[in-house]
Amino acid sequence: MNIGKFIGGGLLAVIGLIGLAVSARTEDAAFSLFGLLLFVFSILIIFRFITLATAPKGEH
Amino acid sequence: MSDAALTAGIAAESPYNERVIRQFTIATLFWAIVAFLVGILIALQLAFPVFNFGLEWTTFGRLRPVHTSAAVFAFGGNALFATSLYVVQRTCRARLFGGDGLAEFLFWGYQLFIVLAASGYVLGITEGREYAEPEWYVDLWLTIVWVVYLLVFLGTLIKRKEPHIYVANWFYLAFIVTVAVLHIGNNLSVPVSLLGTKSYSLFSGVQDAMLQWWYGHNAVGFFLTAGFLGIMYYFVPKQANRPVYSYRLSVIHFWSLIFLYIWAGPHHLHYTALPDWTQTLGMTFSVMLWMPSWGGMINGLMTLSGAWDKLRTDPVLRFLVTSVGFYGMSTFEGPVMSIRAVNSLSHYTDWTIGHVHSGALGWVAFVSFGAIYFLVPKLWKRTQFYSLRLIEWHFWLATIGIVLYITPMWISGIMQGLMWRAYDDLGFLQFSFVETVAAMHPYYIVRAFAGVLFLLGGLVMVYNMWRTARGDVRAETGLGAAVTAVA
Repeated sequence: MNIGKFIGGGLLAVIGLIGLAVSARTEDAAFSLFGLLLFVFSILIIFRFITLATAPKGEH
Repeated sequence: MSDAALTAGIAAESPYNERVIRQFTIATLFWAIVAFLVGILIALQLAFPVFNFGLEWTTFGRLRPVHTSAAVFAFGGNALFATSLYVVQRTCRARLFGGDGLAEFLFWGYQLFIVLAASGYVLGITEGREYAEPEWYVDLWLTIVWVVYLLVFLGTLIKRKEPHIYVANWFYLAFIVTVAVLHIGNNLSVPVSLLGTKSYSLFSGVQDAMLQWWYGHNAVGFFLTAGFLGIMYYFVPKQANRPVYSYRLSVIHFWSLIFLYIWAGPHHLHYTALPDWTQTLGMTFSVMLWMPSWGGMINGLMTLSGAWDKLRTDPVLRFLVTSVGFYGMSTFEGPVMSIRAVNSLSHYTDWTIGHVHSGALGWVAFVSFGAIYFLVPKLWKRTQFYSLRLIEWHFWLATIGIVLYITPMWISGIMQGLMWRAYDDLGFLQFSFVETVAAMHPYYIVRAFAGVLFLLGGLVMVYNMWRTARGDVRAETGLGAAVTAVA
């Protein structure tokens, strides 16, 4: 069990939440898009982390 | 072999993380085409304004940074990521530090940076700083990604199983560390709101200009030179199957280059409010830079001692060696243009554009093409290229494209500078500005045509590498048949 993966995943979750909050509060369309992209990116990378951590050795 | 089986096979065979290198290699090819395409469009816009399409999002002012960033940071940046992560693992005999997850974050995080930057330019969101156009929120994101890059690279170096750190890694490390310092220093700014895109620089006036060109010139020096010298020092010896000509010279090259480059920025601000002594300092260090640059070029070229015959049959090596030749040529032209008297003619003219492209196309793009041709068969476990003839075609299309680009820009630029300073007998300016623009028109058309040739070469490469990765081999006779094998 690698604690680094949990820390990385946690940081990504925080970044994603910041993105979501920014997207909700801004009045700037481009900045709203930035927040959404940050959120989606974080979710996808966290899922990727999970895939990598749970895949049998040699399959990724 | 199916893709899944191939992937499983690759993972089982290689002790290194090659997945992320394949990802960066594909991204390099993709962004290369984007950069060349947008380059052609803005070249056409300069010759025929109708190509602005009457839309604010597609005007020259917004698309120009899309082109430069796509070329430098997307195409060049991905090539540097791919090669540096390949080289550091091989020369250290260690898998990437931080695990596959961190590498995955690095790849997708950098692609997100590119998309955020480019979408901002098209929407008119910019700091207005050349090569540092992205606004504060994109800068912050790049800082996070870059720190991860430093962690992965440095961590791999630290856990290496080889006692020696190969010289290419020194160049890559200098590139990573210095770009971090430059990026943070030049982008210190105050956002108008934490919920808005706009920010203002922490500095003002000539100090701001000085900081910008300290960054701008060292983006050339450390992003487009030191990083790509890392490519040269690994891939030229590997492709030529010869040791580096002089390892001692490579070490001298490294330390002298990084010491001198950092001072050369003020030559971008000749005849401005910048104090004269600072301009002279920048000029002097720029001229001194000629020596380490040519030391490196000689080291790269002389690595072929005893293997020059390979240039007749190996177009990949030809790309690499030609790139080193262009490196020598543009690092001679740069110091010449930094001399204040020469700069008074060349500055603000197309001569600068020609100079930049002899470096960007001849040096950066060619050495990247050479590295890609080296990497693709190895990463996809192929023993042969799909077609060696297509590499030949790429080489000649791109070479003719470069010649047709830089030559008209030299002529056009020098003509432009001379027309600006021409006086008649009564002391009046001889030409109006619009007359200089009209005089440059034919050269702009030739330049756009040259861009099309370069793009065609790029498309040929993408097709060839796609077929190579699939494992296809084209039946070829003559030149190609003799040396299709990758080794």
